[in-house]
Amino acid sequence: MFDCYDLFDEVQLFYVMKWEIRLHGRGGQGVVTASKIIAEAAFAEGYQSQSIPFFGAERRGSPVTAFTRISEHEIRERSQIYHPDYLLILDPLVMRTVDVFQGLKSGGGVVISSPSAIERDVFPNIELTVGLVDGVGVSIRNDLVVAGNPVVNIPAIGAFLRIFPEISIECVEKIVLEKFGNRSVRALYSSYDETEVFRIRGSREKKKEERKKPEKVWIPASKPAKGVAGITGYWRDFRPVIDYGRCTGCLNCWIHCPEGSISRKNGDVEIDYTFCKGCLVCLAVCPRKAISSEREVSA
Amino acid sequence: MRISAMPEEEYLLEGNSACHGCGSSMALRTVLKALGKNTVLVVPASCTSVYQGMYPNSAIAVPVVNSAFACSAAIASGLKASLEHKGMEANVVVWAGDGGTYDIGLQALSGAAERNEDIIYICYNNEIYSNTGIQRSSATPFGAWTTTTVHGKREHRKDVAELMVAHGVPYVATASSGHLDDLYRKIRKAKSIEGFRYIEILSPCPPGWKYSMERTVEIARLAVETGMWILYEYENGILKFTGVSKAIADGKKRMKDVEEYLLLQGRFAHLNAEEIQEIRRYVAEKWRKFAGMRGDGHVVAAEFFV
Ligand code: SF4
Ligand code: SF4
Ligand code: SF4
Repeated sequence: MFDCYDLFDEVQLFYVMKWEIRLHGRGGQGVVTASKIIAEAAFAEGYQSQSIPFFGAERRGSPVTAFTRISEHEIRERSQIYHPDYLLILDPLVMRTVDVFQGLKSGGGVVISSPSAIERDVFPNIELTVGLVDGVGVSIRNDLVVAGNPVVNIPAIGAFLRIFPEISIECVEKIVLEKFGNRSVRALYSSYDETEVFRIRGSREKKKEERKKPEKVWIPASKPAKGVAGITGYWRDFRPVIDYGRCTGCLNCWIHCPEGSISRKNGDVEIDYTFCKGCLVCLAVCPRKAISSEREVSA
Repeated sequence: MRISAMPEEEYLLEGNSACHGCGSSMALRTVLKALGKNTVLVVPASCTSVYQGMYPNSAIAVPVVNSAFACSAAIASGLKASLEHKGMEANVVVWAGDGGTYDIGLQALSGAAERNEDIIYICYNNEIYSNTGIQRSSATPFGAWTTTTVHGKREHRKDVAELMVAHGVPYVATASSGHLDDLYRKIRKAKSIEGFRYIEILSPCPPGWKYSMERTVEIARLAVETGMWILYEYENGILKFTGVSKAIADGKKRMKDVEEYLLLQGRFAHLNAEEIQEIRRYVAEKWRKFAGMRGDGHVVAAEFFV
């Protein structure tokens, strides 16, 4: 007869490889989708995997986080990832508002989608392998601008595969083809080829925590302020530019700007690039075609 | 209404967390310009309650009371009574989404309308629960994709503006993010009237409707031009069409086919010919009904039915 105590006879001790990946980006960039694709591909390669989105209000443009776990064995944890082995940073500007490197393990890997090189003092003082790719560039070149947003999640996955050999690019290709079609597959491969891989030990100083001074507390009423969501100018992929030679001062752009980023002082309209999100509604409503768009490159 | 006549003052401040091209923040800017400084907003859970920011700052430069989903009209009623009691004059205005109006806040809204409370209730209707990631509401139109109607919604939407007309309140108006001058005028008018006033604004939502973010105004206008959204005012028991809808009803403008509106939006991309026909049928029926309710003249035959 079977006795459950028999199970104790054989004590197994085994080691399991497990990788934890954290993804950072902005709403609308497909951060959660990227997390899912990586998890699916790992599963197809024979691993166990899971993908977890950070639960919060859904908002395009604001910082978004997602998590992927990959393991040789069943995964029981259901928590967020606090000590990742790998980071995928889909937008370099997120680094300005979120401490993306928090908890990253020494010897880990970082994918950064950025049009320009990243300074050493941005990285923490640990050994890292970095995969750098101009995700927006790859996306634009492969005609992957959807609803005005360059798709950067596929290029980021392409770059990730260069520093994470456990998943083959062919395996990801199948998933991407099925979900998003040929153009995305081309972007995946061109990003894989273009990614620059290097090792680095960062030099970032740890910020000293300033002791807060005691404050008087009144009834907590919020005060009006600009920038409650930070410098939203960082959200821009494209920058609206007014040609004053054509502008007649009709104010259509002013009244329609959802952000209120166009002022009309002294009769002239003027865009406040600190907060303009680059939605290009102003361009669409200008009857004189006096507004054009330029790719934003100031990372 | 000349645009230059609208006040320069901004009451919805830059750098809030509304999505790029958000139709609701576009409308809210104009609404607050029309209401002016002497205004208290009641905002239930919604995109606006998030993009207004967190303590200690607010992106809205008039006092805001954040309420639970179900009770915004009740809270506004109480606020107005308390201000009156203190001898203070202010516009007490609810700014709620369609989730907070059509579904969860409906009983409080109906109660305040029936009591003819001296408040303005504005519903910015983006036809979904956008804040929680695009779920259907009872304002979602037939056929639209949402995360809870993945093959398209099977039911037509309910119409709360019409329901407010049925309540017989002093003023009801519909407006759109694509016609901000018309919206401005209607808010100014509502401000001058006493008693319960209801205004509903169609506010396109780029991520929820799946269209390119710079097209918010174009899409809002197409909704009116194709008859999917009807602009009207109901005052002293009389219903009048306004703007483009009036031109259509008077036979001065031809109504465009609904497809022009539907095809621009990813949420309708899966529709087949039969489903599009069903939407056409719905629009025609709606117009027939409103034509019958019109109080300022006859509707030119049935010419507007494409
Ligand atoms: S792109 Fe134009 S409409 Fe959009 S936020 Fe900037 S200035 Fe305003
Ligand atoms: S809409 Fe065009 S023409 Fe009119 S004020 Fe703006 S930039 Fe000038
Ligand atoms: S989800 Fe839609 S309604 Fe909400 S902030 Fe974004 S665009 Fe506006």
